[in-house]
Amino acid sequence: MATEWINEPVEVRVDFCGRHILPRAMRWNNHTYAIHHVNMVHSSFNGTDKLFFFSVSDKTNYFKLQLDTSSLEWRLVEMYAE
Amino acid sequence: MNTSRIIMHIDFNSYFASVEQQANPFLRGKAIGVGGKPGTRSIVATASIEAKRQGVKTAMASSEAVKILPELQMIDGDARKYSEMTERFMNIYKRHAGVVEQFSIDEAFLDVTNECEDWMDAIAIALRIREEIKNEIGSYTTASIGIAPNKLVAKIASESDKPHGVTVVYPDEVEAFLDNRELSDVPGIGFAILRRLEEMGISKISQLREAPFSTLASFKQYGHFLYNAARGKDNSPVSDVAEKPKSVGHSYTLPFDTDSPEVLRATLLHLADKVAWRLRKHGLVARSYSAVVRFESMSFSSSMGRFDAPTNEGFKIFNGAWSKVSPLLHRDKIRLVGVSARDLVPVHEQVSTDKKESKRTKLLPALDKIQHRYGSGSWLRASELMAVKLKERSNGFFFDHIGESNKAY
Repeated sequence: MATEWINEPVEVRVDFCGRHILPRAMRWNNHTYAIHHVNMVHSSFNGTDKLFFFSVSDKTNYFKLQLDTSSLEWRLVEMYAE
Repeated sequence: MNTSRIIMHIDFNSYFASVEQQANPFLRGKAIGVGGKPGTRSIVATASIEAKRQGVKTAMASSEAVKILPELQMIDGDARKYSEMTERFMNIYKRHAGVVEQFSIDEAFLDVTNECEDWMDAIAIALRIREEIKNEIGSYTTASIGIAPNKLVAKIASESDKPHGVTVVYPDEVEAFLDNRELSDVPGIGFAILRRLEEMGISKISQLREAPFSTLASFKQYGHFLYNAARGKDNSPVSDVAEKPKSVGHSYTLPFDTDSPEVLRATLLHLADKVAWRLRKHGLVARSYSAVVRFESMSFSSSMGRFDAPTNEGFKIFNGAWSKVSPLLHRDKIRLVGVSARDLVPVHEQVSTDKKESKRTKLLPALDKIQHRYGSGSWLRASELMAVKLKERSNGFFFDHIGESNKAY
């Protein structure tokens, strides 16, 4: 088991709860993954563009999702499978 | 009624590793190390509690760590994630304490004297902070807390019960508490001092306390520190004023040993530009510099020089450093290069009469704006194209991306 760098665009369904964005499902490579837990959210800047990173998981996989707030694009940055 | 200060020291346990375990639940309970992969020139920046229990130590070479513990999983560090968590816990602390001093990436001192009627209030604050860390960062990131009348004893206290302890040392218990600790537990007493004290027949804190001040005179100014530390005395205030740096430097261990002038020139220039950016961000110029090189044989060479005029321009810093490094190229292959800017003073605008230099200096604010807008690496000199690609690093005191961002450090 090792963390695999992916960096590909994905589709993500989210819930907006108060001031929080909670990813609920992700579609990648024609497969839909239900997201069971949002374990951590952090942000970063690329110049003045803000990026949000969501560390999420289902029963067997961990995914790191990136939301670029300037383009509103979601990307799967990395994953780890048990 | 309490008459002494009440100081807290809060220290996260296996910080980077616990943040990674919080983010990825499949790493929890496992021996992990944050750092580069074995086979690369990397060290274990932090080992998880599980890995430490099986002999893996911080700063150990990754290859050595994996030999000790083959099932150790090495995880690439994510400096931006850790720095955001640091910002979060600092904000939590500031909600509870009048003065908060960030001591390192995962440690802080809090002066809660004005917030507490008595020591029970301080314990209540500590427990609330722990709860807020759990809610806002995650239940897997834990911190040990020491509460004492001063910074020195608070820090020793937080180290005494890891992980996840809260240790209170009341003013009248300080000496008894210290007598149960080792001399090496005292911050500021390192291996060389321990050896000297042992030669004097001092191997315990109680013995250090019994030694008359005249015995410690050989340590000169440091003798005052030893005298006070043995008694648990420390008047240093908790300060939230960020000090300007005394020097600014960057060094890098190359992924391969080399004697290629092109690669070393380009890499050193890249490092000099990073130093220059940080100087300009702080509004400082350097009057002198140092360059350091580590050879394939692991020996070091370091030398210093002085600028004709104070500067915060990358090319000038590079020229100084290269003048020290280039004569060493034929000695041995090089595995690390570094440059530091020293004797820092506030910048005073000076107009150069040299046209080329004046043109270069005028360009710098525009290049800084580009970097601020588009991030690190958004511009590069043509002569840096041969440079080794510098990976972002984080260590106990500094994050590369903070130094290069527009954020105050």
